[in-house]
Amino acid sequence: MSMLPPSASVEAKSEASGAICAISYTLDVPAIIRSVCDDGAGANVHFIGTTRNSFQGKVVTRLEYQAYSKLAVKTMMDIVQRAIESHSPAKCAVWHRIGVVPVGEPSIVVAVSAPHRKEAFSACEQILEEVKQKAQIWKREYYEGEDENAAQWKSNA
Amino acid sequence: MDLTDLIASTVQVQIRDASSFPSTTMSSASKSTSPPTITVLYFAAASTSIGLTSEEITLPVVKKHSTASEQNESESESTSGPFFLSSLPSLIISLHPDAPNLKQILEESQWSVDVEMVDKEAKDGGSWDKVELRGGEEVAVICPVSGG
Repeated sequence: MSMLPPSASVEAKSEASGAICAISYTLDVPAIIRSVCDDGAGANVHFIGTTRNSFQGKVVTRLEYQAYSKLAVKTMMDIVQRAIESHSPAKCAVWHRIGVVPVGEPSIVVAVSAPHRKEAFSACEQILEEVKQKAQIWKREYYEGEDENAAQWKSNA
Repeated sequence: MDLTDLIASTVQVQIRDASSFPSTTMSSASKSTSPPTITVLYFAAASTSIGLTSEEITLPVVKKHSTASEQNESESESTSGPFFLSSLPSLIISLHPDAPNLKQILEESQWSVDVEMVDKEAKDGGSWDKVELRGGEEVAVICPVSGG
């Protein structure tokens, strides 16, 4: 049986001063990178997570993501605000894709700009780790030669 | 939802004295004719197991011994006690007895009510055995996440 994705798994966005958190079906990576450019910020750090082609020796054909979007963007914004308090970046953008993500394509982008590189790296890493730990987003991995209905939902825990 | 209920229950004392206000309030409307229901959202492993992404669940009547709340003033028979979030997993399991592995999935899951996570073990009174569901809430089963 192939179910429709949850109706709560939709595009969503949360914006605050210097911060954007969004969930969408496509990721415009150059636009996301441009969105954090800031004349006062000399350091720009971007993390892009892409679908890997294998997991424990099995060939991955695709990933599917779904999200409780309105809660996920709220959680992502809380995470970004904490990073802002800790590292004072200039601008942050976190985008996560939902739906099918073929091998090699980006599923998450975390882009941070800051006056100096130490804060930019720290903020980017902190945001990424907390999003993976807390954001209400789920990934299902499909392997070559395996029954699609038995595809497992992954856990970051 | 909670803030609206709080405002309605706060205003109720004044409504009785002001005849120009409407006679129904949020707190009485929720228990007028139909039993209270909640919307439960399922994602990931929970939705795969149950075969649904959401459902409306009627809150069961919980027998209550004391009738201390002001809502009981207009009722002559015994009213229902509070239904807490911690009682929801067994209710969901009873509604879906054939859902594979559902008990374990729910044990490993967290919960959200009206778009706010609930800490199962919060020490400050916010833990899930103190979170009351009255009807109208959006509750989501949050299986272990895997974003990023």
